[in-house]
Amino acid sequence: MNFNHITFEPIHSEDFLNKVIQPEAGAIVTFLGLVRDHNKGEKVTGLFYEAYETMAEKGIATILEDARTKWALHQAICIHRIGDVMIGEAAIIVLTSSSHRSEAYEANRFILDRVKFEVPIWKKEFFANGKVEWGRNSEVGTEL
Amino acid sequence: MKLHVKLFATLKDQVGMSSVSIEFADNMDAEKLKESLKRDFPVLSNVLDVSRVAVNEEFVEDDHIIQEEDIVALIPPSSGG
Repeated sequence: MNFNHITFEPIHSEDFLNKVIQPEAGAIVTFLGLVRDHNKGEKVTGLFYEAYETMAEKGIATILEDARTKWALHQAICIHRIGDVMIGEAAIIVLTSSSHRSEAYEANRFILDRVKFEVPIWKKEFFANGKVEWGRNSEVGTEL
Repeated sequence: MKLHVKLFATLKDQVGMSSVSIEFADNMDAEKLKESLKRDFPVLSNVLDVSRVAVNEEFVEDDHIIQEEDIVALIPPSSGG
């Protein structure tokens, strides 16, 4: 099942869940990265995501392939939204399915951490006090 | 001969353009490319120091030699996910 990995469209987890449920999968792990209303103690009103789209598509595809090589997965899906994303909306979804739960859990975290650190996508944060700032995933280390 | 370099995020915002042109030179590596950009656009220096270079949509090391037909982009620290 192939999806484009970068989209301007809103992400609805139920659309993807319906497509990954299959008899062999005993476990499905869904991660949703949502826009929250605060960052570093300040009120956030919304985010704008930019991507080097062609490179980001390839980057996410490679990370999913790596996950499928490392763990026995039935499905591995990752979609990142770009453009304006409002408070409470999903910026990213990562779904992994496997026969038993440990693979789905571990692969899901692996995919998210690598996407945050390696894929050319950037968030611009709009704060309630008028400040606008490009974010940085400086808290994500290289160890996975 | 001009080399076009794609800019993103804070680099793009600060310069006000999604790509800039610099003079291409033989045996220009990724590090020299960044140095050339810092000279032409000093306002970008701090971010360039922590940005990576992508050639034809793959990250490259500082000593990677850039060819005149390459698609080059400056990738600031990512903040997706």
